[in-house]
Parts: sequence; C-alpha cells; structure tokens
Amino acid sequence: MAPNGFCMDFLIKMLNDPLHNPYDKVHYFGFAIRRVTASQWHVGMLYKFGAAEARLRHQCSHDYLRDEEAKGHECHFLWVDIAALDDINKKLIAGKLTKAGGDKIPYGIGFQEGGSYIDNETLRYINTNPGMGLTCASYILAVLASLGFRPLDIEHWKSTEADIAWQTSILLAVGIPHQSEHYIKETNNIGAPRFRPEHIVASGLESEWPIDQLTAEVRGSDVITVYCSIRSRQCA
Amino acid sequence: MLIYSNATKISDARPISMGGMVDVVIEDDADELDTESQFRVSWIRVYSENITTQGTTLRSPFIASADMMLKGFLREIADGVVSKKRAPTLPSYATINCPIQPDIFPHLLSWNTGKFSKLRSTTPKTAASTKVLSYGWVRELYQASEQGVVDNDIIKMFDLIEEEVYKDREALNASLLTIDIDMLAPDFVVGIPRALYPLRGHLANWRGFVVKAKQSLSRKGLGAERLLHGLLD
Repeated sequence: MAPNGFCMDFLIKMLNDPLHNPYDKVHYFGFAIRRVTASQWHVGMLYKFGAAEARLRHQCSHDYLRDEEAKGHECHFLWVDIAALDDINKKLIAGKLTKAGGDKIPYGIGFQEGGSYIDNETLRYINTNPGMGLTCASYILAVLASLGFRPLDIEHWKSTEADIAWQTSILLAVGIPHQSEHYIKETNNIGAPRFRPEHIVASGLESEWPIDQLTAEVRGSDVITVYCSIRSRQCA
Repeated sequence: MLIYSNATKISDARPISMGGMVDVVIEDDADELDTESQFRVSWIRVYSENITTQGTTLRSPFIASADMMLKGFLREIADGVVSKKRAPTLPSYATINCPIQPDIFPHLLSWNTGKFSKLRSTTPKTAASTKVLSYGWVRELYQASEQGVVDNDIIKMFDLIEEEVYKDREALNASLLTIDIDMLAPDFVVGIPRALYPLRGHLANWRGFVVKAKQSLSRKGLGAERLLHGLLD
C-alpha cells in the first residue's frame, strides 16, 4: 500500500507510463506531469482529438507556452486520464484546445478564480495587467474554468510556508525581467495560495470535482512517490 | 422535412408599427425541389416598450422574451398549417411554453394570431415529418445530432457559437429559450452551456438552458450532474 491508503498498484495503473501506455491512448484529455529538478515539478494538458496525434499544451516559463506533439516526451511526462470527467466533457476540452493557437502568457503566482485570464473563444491569454500571470498549474485551472470546470476547491485553498519559499525562488528563476513592473507586482503575490502540478494530477485521479486541499496534498504526494518509483526503473 | 424561416428577423421589424412579415419555408429533404412550400405570415404585436417603476421609465426587459415567444408561436402556427391542425391562440401557447415568463402578459397589449398567405406549394405535407423551426446555428446542430456527432462537429459547434456571439448576442440569448434540447445530441446539450459559460452573466437564458439540459439528460439516464459539473452551482 502507498503511505496514504492508495494501493500502489492502483496508482501505477492510474499514472500511465507512455513507454507502456502511449500518449495516444488518452481518452481525449488528460494531465501529464514531469520532474524538472529534484524539487520542481511541471504539469501540462495532454489531448488527442480526431485523427491527430496526442499533443501537450503547457505553460513552461514567462511568456513561453508550448503546444507540441506529445511523442518524444516519453522519458519525462507520465500521464493520467481524468476520472471525474466523462468522454463528452473530455471531448469538449480537447476540441477547444485543438482550436486554440499559440500564445504568450506571463508567468504569475497569484491565481484568482474568475480572474479573466483566458479568452473563451480563442483560449488566448487576455489579462495584460502587471502582476497577473499563470503558472503551469494555474494555466490549466484557467483553461478549465473557461468551460466551467473546477478541479480544485480554489476558494478554500490556503497558502503554506513552503509555498512562500517556492514563490520567492521561482520568480527569480522563471525569466521575468527583474526591473519590470510585472516582476515588482508579482512579488506582492508571494504568499498567495499555490496550486502545485501534483495537485492538478491528483484531481485527475479523483472521481469527483472539485477536490479539497487535503485530498490534493495526500494524492499529490502519492503521485510523486509513484512517479519516482516508475522513473527510477527507467530512463535513469 | 425542415421548416425554417426568417423569423429571427422579427426583432428587426420593430419600425413597422410593431408588426411585420416572416417567410416560412417548409421543405422536404427527400426531394427539395418538388416538395417545397412557402408561406408568408403577417403578424402584429403590440406590447409596451417601456415600463415605469418608481417614477422612472425603463425599457421593458420583456421584449426579447416576448419576441421569442412570438417566434415560437409562429412556428406552432406553421406546424399547424402543415398538419392541418387548428393553431393555438397566443395566450394558450404562451401559458404552455413560456411558464417562466408570466410577467410578459401585462406588457403584451394586443396581438393577432398570424395570418398565412401561401406563396407557393407543391406537395401536401404531413405532421409526422415536421421538424422544428429554429435559428440557423441551432438547425445545423440538430442536423449533426441526427446524423451522429463526430469529433469535427464539436469544432463546428464552437465555431457556430462564436459566430453568434459576435453577430447578435441578443438573438443568441433568445435562441437558448427556443432550442428543443431533446433534438440535440448530448455532446451539444453539454457543449452549448460550456461554450457560453464565460458569458453566462450576459445571457439571461443561459441558466434556464442548463436547467432544461439537466432535465433532458436525467430523463435519458445520462448522469446529468456529472456531465454538467460546475454549471449547476
């Protein structure tokens, strides 16, 4: 058993290794997670629509959104189907992502629910106010919110001491010019609730949305344990 | 068989003394050329454009709803002509079909039942093959629903809705009231309110559509709560 009560075998089945379960097997829409450094994780949206091959759409860093074929990332991204969504809703999300074009999104740590980040028609980022931007995780929340989905119970999310340390360091590292008004205003967001990549993936494992912070922490921790377990055996 | 008309233009006809004409075409898709009938419906509506409350005169909030009711009523008349049934009166139609807007009546001062003049006709039509009169974008979704929804129809749905958002938001809102949800594939029943979710504050009929969607999906045993997650809050 995993430390938090999930059967490890179950989690291994839920968290798909593309070396065994190719990305193209995703049922329209899923989440994909990878480890960037020992303590830094990254999450993106995996989608497949029509006859096209599976794609990954993810907010990588400041002004740098990528939408690319998922193939080629097998040694990095593991993926999950979304248990809380039926195929109709996953199809709608994948269809919307297929219509979306490229974009440049400022990096930002202070996500606000209903913050008007994304244009519903084009999924283009529209909030140009300094101090407004998205992380890889909150970008996913913004896209899903534009279609009425709430994977996380954002309203009741609390920030933690660890979040503050991470927010301080990521703002320095993510490529925002330090003299810019955006950077200065972003520092005011330090202390805002943080939605982590593993929280997003954890929501994909749960059968009902939204999930609360405690569940996201517990399942998120399981996701990381399983990811490390899978990847320690491969692609070392 | 399809029935369609330019009834969406009713609201544009306001300068014609609150009345106007709409063309109704009844078309059998088995053989369009040989089985098409066209009617012209003249109609009049008179209801107060303004209401006065606490000494302040406001534009009536019921105009869009009344327009929609009238359009639905004209559709009913068209169906009645096709099936040779007696058409309902406007109040009886409105009571049955628009129970959520009873407040319209005090503002609806007079009406007639619509007068049909036949422009041309070929073959007699039967009620059994009658479909619904609707907005163009909805009609396309009805047709896709009938043929079986494929992935590209989802893209088409988003495109059609986006076009309507730009073209005429008032008409889009009005169309939400008249959509026959049971004629739509579940993909569209769920997709329409999701596509319009960010505009829900500007579309008075959005919430009513979600409620009707829930009822329809529940009747079909499709797990309405789950499909409409996030929309019912």
